[in-house]
Amino acid sequence: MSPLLDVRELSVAYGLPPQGVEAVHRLSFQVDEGETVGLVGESGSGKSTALMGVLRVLPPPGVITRGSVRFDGREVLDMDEAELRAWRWREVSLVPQSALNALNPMLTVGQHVADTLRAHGVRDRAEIGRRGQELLALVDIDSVHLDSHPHTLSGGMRQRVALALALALEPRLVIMDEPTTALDVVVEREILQRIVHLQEQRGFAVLFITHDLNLLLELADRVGVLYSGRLAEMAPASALRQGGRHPYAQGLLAAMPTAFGEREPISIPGAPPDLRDPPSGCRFHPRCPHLTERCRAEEPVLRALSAGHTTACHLLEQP
Amino acid sequence: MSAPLLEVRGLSVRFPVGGGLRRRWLRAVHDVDLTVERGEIVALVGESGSGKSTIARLIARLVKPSGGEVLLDGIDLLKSEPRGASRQTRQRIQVVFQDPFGSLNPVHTVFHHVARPLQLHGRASDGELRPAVLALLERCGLKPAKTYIDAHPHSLSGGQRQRVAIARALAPQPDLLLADEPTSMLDVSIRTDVLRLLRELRDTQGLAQILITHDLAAARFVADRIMVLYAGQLMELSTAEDLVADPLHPYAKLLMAAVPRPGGSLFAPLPAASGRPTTIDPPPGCAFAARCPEADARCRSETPTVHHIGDRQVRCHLYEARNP
Repeated sequence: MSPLLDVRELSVAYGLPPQGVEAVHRLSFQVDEGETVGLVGESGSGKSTALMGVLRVLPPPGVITRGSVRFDGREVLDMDEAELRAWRWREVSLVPQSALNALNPMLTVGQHVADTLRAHGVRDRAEIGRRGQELLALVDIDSVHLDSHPHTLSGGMRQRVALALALALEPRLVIMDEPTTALDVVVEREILQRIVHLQEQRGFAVLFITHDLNLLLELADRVGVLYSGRLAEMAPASALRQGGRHPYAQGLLAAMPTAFGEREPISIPGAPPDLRDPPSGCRFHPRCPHLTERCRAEEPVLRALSAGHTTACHLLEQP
Repeated sequence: MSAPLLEVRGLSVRFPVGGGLRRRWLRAVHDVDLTVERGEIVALVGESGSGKSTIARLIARLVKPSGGEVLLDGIDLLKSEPRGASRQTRQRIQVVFQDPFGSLNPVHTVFHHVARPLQLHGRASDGELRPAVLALLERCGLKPAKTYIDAHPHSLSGGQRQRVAIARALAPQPDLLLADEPTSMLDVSIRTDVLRLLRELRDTQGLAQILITHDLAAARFVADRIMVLYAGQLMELSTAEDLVADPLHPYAKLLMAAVPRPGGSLFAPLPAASGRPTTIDPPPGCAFAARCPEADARCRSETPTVHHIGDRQVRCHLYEARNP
């Protein structure tokens, strides 16, 4: 079975060479039907740029410089504007980081739902009203709030409205860009629980972008660890919970303080590289505890360790 | 036992909401007691609106309280003082803010930021200024300090900027550091180092600190004791290990249940739903009663007092029986 979303060797740059900065370099990953894939990375890792590239909503001067994005076998990078409009939201939708910025302060929740449905051809007013009630019920919000404006809702409720809107057309893939970062821990937990329950009922796939690896280890089936625009490791969450194989993934796992167990966190020395002046060879080499001469000279490529588990590290190459 | 460095008693603040005849009061902090010993870090943990930052602002005297006392070495900071004396006590409490991008002035160098408090508080003569700044930067992990001292904030990473902010706070040689979410804007791989610096300052210099955070894992990593706040009130105060391993208050239990646990299950239900306390003209009873799975009629009518169980404190009727 071919994957639902198949990203191959995707590169995204802001501006063109020689001044341009490459924010994502030859990124490849797949999301299967019904699967939850997480991408984790720190600021500048390219995680948000990658998802904007996939949705083809890069702000200028961002450009896709190579690669392919296939959705159910169709090439997204070849779609024209009309095809993109039909594809977005019907097949793939987005839950943004800040629902307050994504929702129009002049419109009620019900008007947001109606706008979304009308833009995709649902005209019948009774149908729109009924669907609005259903959608709010899905995310556990009382239907009286169809008449509420976004600013009257709490942060958690706004984020649930954004989730409801993303599900309005029953897409096959929902992309979530740090949807819970700004929320309190109990509210965050409730939204994540709502997501996994809805996913079980409706079977959509999720691509979840975050800086919180602990969260992904609980939520995702597979996790990609991004560093400086590149995939360092892509592994089943269960394999990462064991500690990961790439030195950066290992470092990230060990660096997080934990509320459970005995572990004392060990931080990664240094800071992520400046994309305008990146280090030679492996981007992680200045911070890597297992550095060799080869790491300085030659950039490692992504290789499979086992089925569904890939890393880009010279140390892990099979002889 | 000697007196604690900081002793807060019955600290309360309320803010007016609306005006004229429709004025109502928002209860932001209510009846909080807290002591901080020399060489101790106490974390204040709670959701947004729990009053944790307001408590830090009250102690730093950035906000005037409606009631209560804040004693530093037995001196009540809230009593009005002559200007000179105020400066002397002020330098003993310093603050590190959340946003290292906003708290440093982009037109000034690192040297300027750290040298100013040294000058203002008479900690170094002009000739000693540069070596003193270098020593402070080194102490905050900016090594070699020579490469940072003449830099402007924009050329530094978030973690380095926060270290400059900490060096600046240390310049007047405070007895107490208030750190308000000092790592929440930093990347994961940087965060632990800054938290570790706070711990080192406690261990090597005995610097007492209050850490305000929403992150229980960070609180546990750094703090000796953790105070859980809800609706501006102490719900529980326990040692960090007791709190994460065995929270007593139903609200503390809820917070711990909501922390992501690798290998945990998102299908496991939480003990209580999310929600916000009524802080404007609050009803009688426990602030958490509306959400509490254990609440009964009494919880909705009678405000629980703080019960002491060994070295732990809990504001909950459930623990009354164990109160001697």
